[in-house]
Amino acid sequence: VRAELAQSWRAGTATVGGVERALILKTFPGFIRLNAAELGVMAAMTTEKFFPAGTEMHTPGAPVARFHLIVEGKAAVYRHGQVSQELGSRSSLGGLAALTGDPKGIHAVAVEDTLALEFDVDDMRDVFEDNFGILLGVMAAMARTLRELQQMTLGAAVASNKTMPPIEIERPLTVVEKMLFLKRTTNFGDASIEALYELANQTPEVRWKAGDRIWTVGEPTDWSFGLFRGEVECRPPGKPSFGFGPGFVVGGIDSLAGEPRWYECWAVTDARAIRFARSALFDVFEDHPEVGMVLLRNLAGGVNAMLEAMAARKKAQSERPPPPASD
Amino acid sequence: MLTRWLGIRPEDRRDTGVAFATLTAMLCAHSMLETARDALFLAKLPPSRLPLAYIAIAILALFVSRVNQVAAQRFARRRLLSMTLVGGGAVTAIFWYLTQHREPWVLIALYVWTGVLATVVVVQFWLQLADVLDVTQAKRLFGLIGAGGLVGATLGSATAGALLTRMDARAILLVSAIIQASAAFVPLGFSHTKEADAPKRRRHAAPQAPARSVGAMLRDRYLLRLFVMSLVGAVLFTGIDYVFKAKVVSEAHARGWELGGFFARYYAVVNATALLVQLFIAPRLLRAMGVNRALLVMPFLLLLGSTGFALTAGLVPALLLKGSDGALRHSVHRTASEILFLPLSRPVRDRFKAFAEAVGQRGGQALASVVILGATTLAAPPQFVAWGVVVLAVGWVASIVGHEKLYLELFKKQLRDGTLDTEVDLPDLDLASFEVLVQGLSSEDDREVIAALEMFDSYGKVDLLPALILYHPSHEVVLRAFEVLGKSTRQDVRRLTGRLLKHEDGEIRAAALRAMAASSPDEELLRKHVFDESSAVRCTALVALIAHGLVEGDEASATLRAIVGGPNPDERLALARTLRYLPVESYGWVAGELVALDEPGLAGAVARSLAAAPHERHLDTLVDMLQNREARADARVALVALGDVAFDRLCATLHDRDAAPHIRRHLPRTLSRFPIAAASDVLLAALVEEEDDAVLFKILRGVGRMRAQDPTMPIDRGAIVGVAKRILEGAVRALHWRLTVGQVVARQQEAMTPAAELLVAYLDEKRDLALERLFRLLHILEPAQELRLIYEGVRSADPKARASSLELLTHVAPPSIRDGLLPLCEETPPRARLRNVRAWYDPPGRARFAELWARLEAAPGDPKLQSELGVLYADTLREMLHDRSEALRGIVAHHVAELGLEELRTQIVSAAKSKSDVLAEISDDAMGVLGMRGMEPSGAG
Repeated sequence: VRAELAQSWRAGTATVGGVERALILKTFPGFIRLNAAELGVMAAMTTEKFFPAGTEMHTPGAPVARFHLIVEGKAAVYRHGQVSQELGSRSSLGGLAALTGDPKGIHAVAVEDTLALEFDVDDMRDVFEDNFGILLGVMAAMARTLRELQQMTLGAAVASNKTMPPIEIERPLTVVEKMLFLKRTTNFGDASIEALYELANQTPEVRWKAGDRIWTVGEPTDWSFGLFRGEVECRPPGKPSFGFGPGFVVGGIDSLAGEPRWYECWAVTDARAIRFARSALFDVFEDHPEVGMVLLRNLAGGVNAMLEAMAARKKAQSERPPPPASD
Repeated sequence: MLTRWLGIRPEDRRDTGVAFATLTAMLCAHSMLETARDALFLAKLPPSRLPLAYIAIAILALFVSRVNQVAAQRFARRRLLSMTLVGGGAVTAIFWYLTQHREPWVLIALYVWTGVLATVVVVQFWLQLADVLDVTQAKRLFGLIGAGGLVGATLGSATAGALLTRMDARAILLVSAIIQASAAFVPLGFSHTKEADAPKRRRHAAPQAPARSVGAMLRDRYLLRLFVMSLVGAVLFTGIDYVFKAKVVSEAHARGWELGGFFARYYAVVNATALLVQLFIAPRLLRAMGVNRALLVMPFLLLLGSTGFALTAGLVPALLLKGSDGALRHSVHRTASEILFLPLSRPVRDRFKAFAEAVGQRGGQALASVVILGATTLAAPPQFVAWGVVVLAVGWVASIVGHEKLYLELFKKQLRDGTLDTEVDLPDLDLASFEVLVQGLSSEDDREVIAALEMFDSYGKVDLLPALILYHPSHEVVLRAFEVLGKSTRQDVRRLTGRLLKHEDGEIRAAALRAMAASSPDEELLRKHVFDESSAVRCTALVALIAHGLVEGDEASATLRAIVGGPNPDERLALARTLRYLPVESYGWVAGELVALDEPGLAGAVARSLAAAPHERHLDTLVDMLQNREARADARVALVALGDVAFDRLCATLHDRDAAPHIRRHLPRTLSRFPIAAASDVLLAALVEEEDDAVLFKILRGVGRMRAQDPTMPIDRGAIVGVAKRILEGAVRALHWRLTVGQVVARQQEAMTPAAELLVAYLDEKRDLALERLFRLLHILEPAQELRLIYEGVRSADPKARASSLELLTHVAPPSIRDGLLPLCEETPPRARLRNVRAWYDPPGRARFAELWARLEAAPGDPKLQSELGVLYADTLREMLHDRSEALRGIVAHHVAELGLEELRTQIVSAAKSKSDVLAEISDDAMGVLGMRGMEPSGAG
C-alpha cells in the first residue's frame, strides 16, 4: 500500500482516502494499539505530502509547526552540520522538536522521494487531550525510543529527572508528604494538586535493605519507583553499572514502554521509595491529560538530549586530527 | 471606586480614558461646527434645500467611507483617526476662509462637509473601540464612553452659544477646527489592537473573510437586519423630531411660549437624563437584559409614545416621545447597537459599518426628510407622520426580535474558527478502501498485515477475511488472526485450524487447539496434546478436556488448582485465555482466583475471556475488575452483555458508600453504557446525592455522554441547576479560603508550611475544577448549545475568544446561577473575582475576615488582633475540613497537624472514622503527625 501510494504520488495521480491513511497510521510504532475511533481521528487530522529527493522538509531556526510521519522514502536529519540520523518509513520527523517546543526547530532533507503524512502541532495537542489512547500510544513509542538510546549509551540516568536531598523522615510518609515529594520531581512538578493527590493515594511506600535485589533482567515492568532516600545500582548484563539517588524515578521508562527489565536493580544502601503501578499512573493520566502531556514532553526532551549528545560526540570525533601514521 | 460605580477595571483604564477624551473632544468640535453651519446656512438658504444636502451627504459618505477603508489597510486605526481629525480641522479652517462671502454653493458644501466628516470620524472611532475592547468590556464601558459624547456635545453647544453673543458664526468654524486638530493627538493613546496580538491557529484558522460586496453583505441575514435597524432608526428619529417640533411650535404659538427658553430647559432635562442613563443605567441594563433585549427598550417606548401622540395629538405624548429618544438614543441604544458589530470579523465590520452609517443613517435621514417635505407640502397633520412612526416602530421591534439567535451564532462561529473536532470516527468503507485493506493483507510488512486484520475487525467484516491468513509465515500475524477469526464459525477456518495443530510454534498450536476445542472437541486429539512440550498447549488441552466434561470432578478441580497455584505463569495465562469454555457452575471460582493473583497480563486475559462468554456467576469478579485498567474495557463489555442483573449490581455498588472508591469511580461510565432510559435515572439521581467529588465527576462525564447521544433524554432541570449552584457556591467559598490562607500565611510566617503551599495551590485550582464541572452540567442542561466550545473559549488565552464565550454564556446559563458563574469565568485577580461574585453568594466568614483584616491594617502590632486572626484561621481550616473534596480535607488535615492546632483534633478524628478508606488513611496520617509533632520535622518539602 505504501509503495503504491508513493508511486502514485510521484506520478501525480494519488488520491489517498481516510481508510488508507488509517491503515498506514496503524503500522506506525505509536499507533499499533489504537482502536478504530482513535485511528479515525488520526486519519482525519493528517494530510499527505510528497517531497522529491533533495527537498528541504524542515528548515532550522523556527519552532516546528508541522511534523511528518514518513510513509515511504528516507529523510536525513542534520545536527551540528552533519547528518545525525536517517529516518525511513514509519519514522516520525519533527515530532520530538514539536513535543519539546524547541525554538531552534530541526533541519531535515528528503534523501529519497518521500511520502509523508503531515500533522499540525496544534492539532496534535488537542488530539492528545481528547483521545487518551493516542497519547498513551505515542508515550509508549517515545519511551521505547528513549529506552533503546539508554541501552546504547548506558545513560540510563533520565535527563528529565533531577536529584534532591533525601527526605529525613523515619516514619512512613503521609499522603501529603508524598504529594510534596512528587511536586518536586520534574515529571510531576507541573501536575495539578488534584492529580498529585490521586497519584499519591495510589503509591505505597516501599523499603529495601542494603544489598536487596529490587528486580532482575526480563521481569515485567508493571511498576517503577520514585526514590526519596538511599541509593540503588543498576547492573545491565555485561555492561558497566550505573546508579540513582533520591529524586529519581527508576524503571519508569521501561514501565511506560511496556518492555521487560534490561538491567538488575539493587539497593546499595537502605533505600525508601514510593511505588508507581503502571495502571494507576495511566488512570491518573486519563483523568488528568496535562500530567501525561508533561511526561511526554519530558520523554521527548530526554530523547532529544541524547540524540544531541550523540551528534556532538560524533562531530568531535570527526574533527579530531587523525593519529600520526606509524611506519 | 471606579470599578464599583463605573465598572472600570484597572486593565480598562487606559482605553476608556482615551476613548472618553477623544469622543468628548470630537463631539465638542462637531457641535460647534453644527451650530455655526446652521446659523450660516439658514441665514442665507431656505430649509427646503436640506433634503438635497442629506442626499448629497449619503452619497458622499459612501464614497468617502470607501476611501477610508483603503486607508485603513495602510495605517493603524488609531493613526488614521488621528490623521482624519487633523485633516478635518484643516478643511474646516479652509471653510472658515471660503465662507467670508457666504456664497450659496459654499454654504451647501459646508453643510455636506459637516455631515460627511461626522460620519467618517464616528465610524472610525467605534471601529477603533471594537478593536481594543471585547464584548464583555463593551457592555461595561460603552455607556461611559458614550457619555463623553454627551458631555462633548453639551460643552460644544454651550461654548458656541456663548461665543455667538460676542462674535460672528464664521469665527466658530475656526475654533471648531482648532479643537478638532488638537484632539488628533488623543487617539494615539489607544492600546494596540487585540486582534493583532491574539494567537491564531495555523491550519484550522478560518480564512480571513474577504471584504464583501454590498450585495453579498445584504444577503447575510444578520447584516441585513443590522442595516434595516440602522435605516429604520434614522427615518424614525427624523420623524419623531418633526412630530415633536411641530407640536411644540403649534403649542408655543397657541400659548405664547418663548421657544428658545422652552427648548433650552427641555433639552437640559433630557440631556441630564441621558447622561444619568448613560453612566448608571445603560451598563446595568445591558448586563441584566443582554444586548438584544436592551435594544428593544427604546423602540418599545417610542412605539408607546408615537401611538399616544397619533391617537391624542397631545403635548405630553410628544414630550415623552422625544424625551425617550433623547434619553436613550445615545446611551442604551447606541451602546447596544455598537455591540452588535463586535461579533463580525474585522474586514466585514470595517466595510459594513461604513456602509450602514453612510447609507443607513444618512440615507434614512434623507428619505425621512423627503417624506416629511411631501407631508408638509400636502398639509398633512403631524399625526400623519406619527402614524408612520408607529408603523416603523413596529417594524423596528420586529427586526430586533429573533436577532439574538443570529448574534449568538456569530459568536459561536468565532469560537469554532481555529478549533478542531477531535471526535470523529473511521471513514466509511467503500469499495476502493476495501481493496486497500485486502492489499494490506498481502503486504510484506507484518505490521501492515496486522493493521489490515484489525481494521477488518473494526469494520465488522471478519467474514470477508481470507482464511488462508492463518498460514501467514509470521507468528504475530497468525496469533492475531486467530483472535480476530476466533469469533467466526466459518467452515474454512475450522479446516485450516486442524493443520496448524502441527505447527512448530507452541503458541500457534495452543491458539489452534483453543479454536478447535471451542467448536469440535476431539478427546483423542486433546489427550494427545496434554503431553505437548509447550506448557500453553498442555494447559489448553487440559482445560478443553474439562470444559467438555472429558475430565470431571475432583480430578478436574485439582488440575485447575494446580495451574492457578502452580509456578508457571504461562499456564495461568493459557488458562485465562480458555476460561470461556469452562462450565461456570463448577469452575466459576477460577476467574476470581486468577484475578486475585495480580499477575501482569492475567486480569486482561481473564476479562477478554469473560467478555466472550459472560455469566452472572462472574458478576463479583467483573465488578472487581473495573478497578483494573487492562481489564476494565472487557469487563464493561461483559457487564453490559449481562443486562439487568449486572445493572442492578452496579447500581447497588454505586449507592454503597462503603464500596471500594476505586471501583465506585468507574461505575458511572460503566452504567452509561447500558440503555439510556435505565441508566439516566440512576445517574441523575446519583448526581444529586453523590458526596465523593471524584465519583461526581465521573457521573457528570457519563451523563454528559448519554445526553450527547440522546438530547431528548428526560432530565430534572431543577435538580441539575441545584447541583450547579452547590458547585458554584463551593468555588466561591474556595476563593474566599484562598484569599484568607494567602493573607494569613503572608502575615504569619509560622503558618507558611509546606502543606500551606499545597493548600494555596489547590484552592487556586478549585476554580478550574469547578468550571469544568459546571460546564459539564450546563451541557447536560443544554446539549445543543456547544458548551465545549464555550468552555474552551473561556479558558483561551485569546481575549476575544474569552469575551465571545462569556457573551454566549450570558445567554446559556440559567438565570439563578448566571451572576455567580460569569464573574468566576473572568480573568481577573482572585480578590476582584470575589468582589464581583459577592452579590450572588457571600461566603460565610468573609465579612468577619474583611473586618478583622481592616483592623489589623490599622494596628498591625496589636497582639489581641493577632490572636483573633489565629482563631479565625483555625475556624477557616475547620470549615475546609467539611468540604466535599477529599484532596482538600487531606491537605488541611496535614496542615492542621503541622501547625499543632489541637482544637481541630476532634474534626480530624471524626474524619479518621470516615467510611472512605482513603480519607481515613489521610486522617490517620495527620493524627500520626500530630502525635509525633516535635519529634521530627514534618513535611517532605
